[in-house]
Amino acid sequence: MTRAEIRDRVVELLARNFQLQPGEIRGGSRLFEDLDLDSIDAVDMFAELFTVTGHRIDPETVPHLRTVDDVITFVEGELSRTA
Amino acid sequence: MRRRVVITGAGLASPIGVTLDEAAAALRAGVSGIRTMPDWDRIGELRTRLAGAVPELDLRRDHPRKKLRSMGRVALLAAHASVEATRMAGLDDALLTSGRTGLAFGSTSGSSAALERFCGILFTRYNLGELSSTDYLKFMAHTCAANLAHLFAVRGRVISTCSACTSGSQAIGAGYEAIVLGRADAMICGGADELHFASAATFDLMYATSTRYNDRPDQSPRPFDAARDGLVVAEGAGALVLEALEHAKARGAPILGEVLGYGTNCDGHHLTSPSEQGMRGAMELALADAGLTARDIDYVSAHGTATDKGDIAESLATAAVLGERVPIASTKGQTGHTLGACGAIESIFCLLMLRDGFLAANRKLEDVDPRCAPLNYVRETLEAAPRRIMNNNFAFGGVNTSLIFGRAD
Repeated sequence: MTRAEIRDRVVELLARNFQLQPGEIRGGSRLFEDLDLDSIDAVDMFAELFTVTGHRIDPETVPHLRTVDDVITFVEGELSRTA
Repeated sequence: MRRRVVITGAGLASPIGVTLDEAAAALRAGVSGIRTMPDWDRIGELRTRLAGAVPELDLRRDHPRKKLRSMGRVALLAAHASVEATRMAGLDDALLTSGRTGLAFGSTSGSSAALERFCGILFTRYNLGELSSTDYLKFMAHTCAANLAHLFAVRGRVISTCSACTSGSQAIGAGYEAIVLGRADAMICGGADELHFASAATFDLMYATSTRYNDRPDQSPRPFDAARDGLVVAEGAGALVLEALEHAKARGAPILGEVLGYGTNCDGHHLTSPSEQGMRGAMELALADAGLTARDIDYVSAHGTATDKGDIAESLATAAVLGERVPIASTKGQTGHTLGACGAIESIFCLLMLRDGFLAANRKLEDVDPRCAPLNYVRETLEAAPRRIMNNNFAFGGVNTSLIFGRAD
């Protein structure tokens, strides 16, 4: 999956799960401050990312994800690690 | 002197109406809210195909995402009823969050649809991967109480009264007692349940569902009728705002009626078999609490689910406590059995009869079962001016409740 394809998936799942317009989700958007996610949303975001990465994410190994770009980079890493 | 408790708001979602006026008109007209459930053909060995469903309704309304994400259908129905009730009562944010407003709410269980999803994945694939953290918040036992408390930012006491078919009536009782004791000035009280084949299956397994009228949904359930063959499961929600009389008067709130008395007890006998003695006990407790006698009661809203044994035991208990003169009807002939919601919905029906001056009838009561006590069963809607109505409900576990409501004046 290319980075552009990962971006599309991440934007789509954020929009679908958290009542956001795809247009308002930018790479630099901060998850908590700009997109108004909270701790329950973060857990659900990880549950949704399972459908992309194919495995459950261990929060201990997750770097600090602040922005949408951080999530995309993280998924990219997960996919290359398990490829 | 004991604090008096009045009702200043009510709201409901029922198979025969989703507003008070709609429900009152349907009650008067004897409308049936029962329909067939062809979709249940896929459930092997399930015999009943009848249910009472709430008409299509935008339950998600304008609730924000963070309030909605933890609500399954049962909590959404409860939210619909509660928002209507708090609006009618004029409970503003300051009152809701004052710490002197509490909440008591129950349902037979949390959202069955959420439980089906969660367990469907976990119990067959043994994998957490696709599960959402909010599934649990939708199916936990106290999902209604917790979600409503979150919705209204309640800071007073929050009580979950999950006792199957007395969930709604015990919530009203708990709210009433909290106010009488001075622990709260206002309580949002009620019950809810969502329609799911799981609840139909529960009663079907016990041969307690109606199965002979699957092709004639308007003919069942038939409480107290000789040709009754069981209950029809239904969904809905009812919510009432209970308030200390002085508190309501001081803020000029509308007064819909008064809670005059409440009794609850347990059969101490059997998990599912009804006990005439236990039912009698609850009615006697309510009368004593209200300081009333049998002749003060103008109408009885019966539990009357249309099961074989339940209707007989209830009629005998009612005759023993109140005599054979008092008009009685079970509105489940119109709504079906809304389970955790019925205690609250039927309490609201009582308030509507007190407000509008009529007595609802037993739908489809053609020939009273000779094994039932010869009570004054209401056969068609009566114009009347009832002052006090008793609402009785009984649940698995031998839990009994009796509430007595008085007219606003």
